[in-house]
Amino acid sequence: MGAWQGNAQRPMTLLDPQPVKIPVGGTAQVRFAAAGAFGQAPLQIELSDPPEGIAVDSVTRSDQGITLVLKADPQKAKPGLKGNLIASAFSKEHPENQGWEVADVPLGLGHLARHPV
Amino acid sequence: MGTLPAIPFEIVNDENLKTPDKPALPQAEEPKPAVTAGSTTGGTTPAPVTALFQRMQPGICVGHFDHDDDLTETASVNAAYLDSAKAAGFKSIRFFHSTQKRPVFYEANVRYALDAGLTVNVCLFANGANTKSAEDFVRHWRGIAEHYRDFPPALVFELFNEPAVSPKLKDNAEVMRWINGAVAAIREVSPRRILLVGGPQFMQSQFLSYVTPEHLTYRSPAGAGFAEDKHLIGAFHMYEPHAYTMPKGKLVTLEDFLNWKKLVTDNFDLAADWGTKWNKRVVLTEWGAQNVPKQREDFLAYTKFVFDEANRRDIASVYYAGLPRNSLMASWNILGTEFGWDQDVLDIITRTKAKPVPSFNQLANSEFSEFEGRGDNRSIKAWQVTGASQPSVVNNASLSGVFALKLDLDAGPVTISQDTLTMIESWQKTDPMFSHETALLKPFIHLRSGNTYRLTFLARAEKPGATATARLDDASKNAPACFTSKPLPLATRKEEYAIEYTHTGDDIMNARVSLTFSGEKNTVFVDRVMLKSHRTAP
Repeated sequence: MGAWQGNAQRPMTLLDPQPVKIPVGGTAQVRFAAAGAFGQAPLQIELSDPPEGIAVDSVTRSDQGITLVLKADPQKAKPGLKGNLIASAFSKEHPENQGWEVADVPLGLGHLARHPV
Repeated sequence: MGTLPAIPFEIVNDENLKTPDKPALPQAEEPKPAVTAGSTTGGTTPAPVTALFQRMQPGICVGHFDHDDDLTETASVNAAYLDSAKAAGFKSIRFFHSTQKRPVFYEANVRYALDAGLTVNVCLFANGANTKSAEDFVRHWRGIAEHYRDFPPALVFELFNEPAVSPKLKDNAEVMRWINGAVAAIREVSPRRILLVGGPQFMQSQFLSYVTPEHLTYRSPAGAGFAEDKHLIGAFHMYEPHAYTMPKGKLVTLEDFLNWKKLVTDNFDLAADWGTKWNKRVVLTEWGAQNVPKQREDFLAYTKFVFDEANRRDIASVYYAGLPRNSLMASWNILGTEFGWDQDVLDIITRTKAKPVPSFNQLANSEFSEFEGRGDNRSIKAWQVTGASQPSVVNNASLSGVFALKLDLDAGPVTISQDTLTMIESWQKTDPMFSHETALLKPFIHLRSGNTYRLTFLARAEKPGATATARLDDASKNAPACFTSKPLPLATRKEEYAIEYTHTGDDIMNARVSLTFSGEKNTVFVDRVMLKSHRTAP
């Protein structure tokens, strides 16, 4: 089958490693440093199995990275709940990616990492 | 397209935001533990394990993820299968790595699954004469660990599948000695590979009591042992009540088992308690029930209860089974070659509407590579051969893979045929544990109304004049064949022959496929006989 062929990926880092505090009924920003990580394609970010009431409100992008706005539903989100959110990034335009997850991997662990674990 | 680091979060009331943050705790060397929503296992679990854990749920057991068939066909079948499992909503697959195979045998499928975004659980199935001691077991694992050393963390290892089944190792302490040696070997190669470790016997939850520092005395090269190993997960199986999940052909209902819910929850509580005690995750790497004979609503009620109770305890679960090929385990299977995924079960486990499944080969032992006995006159698994002469299996026919069927037609025509009963009878010679009665309740080869079936095979005759005639009929009753082809002349060079048939009658659930070879004073070689459908039936 030939050599391992993973997606070439640029490293992304969470600018603030402290847990993001999402107020019930409100929003909170999470910023990632990811210079040019996603090219120019329109970007969609989805949470994987998020806790009830937590969702992505919006995604914005700059030259230096992306900002994710998370929201907590006032009726469903439970105060005190904490943990890790797992997110996947999609290209909206790439025809091969229509309807398919393209980064459906254990996030935070690296995908197709060519290093011993 | 890209990956994002895990995002630690906390949901707070508005007033909490007005409170000055507490001083940040000193950064530990290891990632800060994360707590998953709804966890009842208490405590915290290491972040890498938690992230991966979320990518295992829900999972599906693939069984023995290999054919002895030609590798090209194996790879294409399994790629299609993996796409199908992914599209059905499963996030992980668990397959048995036979100790009879080298790791490279599975590598193409492992790579494909990882690239598809699936978490892959390689579970060692310790079978055969090369796995008789702890040293053998450790050697296998060292080889697997080294082979996959550079693979991503989404590849995880499950140390042992049900030691009491194979290699029938029933000494609990000895089982743990094997596992301990294997973990030590793996940790020398991959200190952070996620390992799923269950107990002895059939890996029931009560045997997690053996998954302890007392039995797992290994130390990583850095000195970490069981207690400090943040990449070790507990594994267990749950088939309670057994008389319900595997009733050996009897129709039983949940009403027959008044305490069935308690049996299930007691098992899960034991597993959850183990997780709490050792501050580790725990995964249910097998659960399910034979779906025949069953009352449908009863079966679905059991499935939903077990799945929900595992979820309630934050126990990831891997369903048994979604097998990509016909086998005696069909009674457990929620994937049919002709009917696709069991949507009712998917509605519970993955909540995903399955897409039509790819066209799977319905026949077993298509390459004539599985047989019993030795010598030229071997008994060929899954096939029945009738005629005036005995067939033989040869390895020099140059058709496909290593082996091919050789048929001597001097004394008259020879017919090879396959149906569920012939498969069962041949399999049972080597696997008497399988229930004949149960297997017959879910026959394998189907002809669905409206579908077009393509029967293909490779063949070569020694001389001109040989022919092949295909026949399809209902194996469950004496009735005229629903299809008989015209005799196909066979060439003296390797050719692939294809016969198409569109089934217009009622669905036939237990079909028989036959090929009759004729030709005086001739010999034909046959290989890679497959039956696939082009679907129109829903």
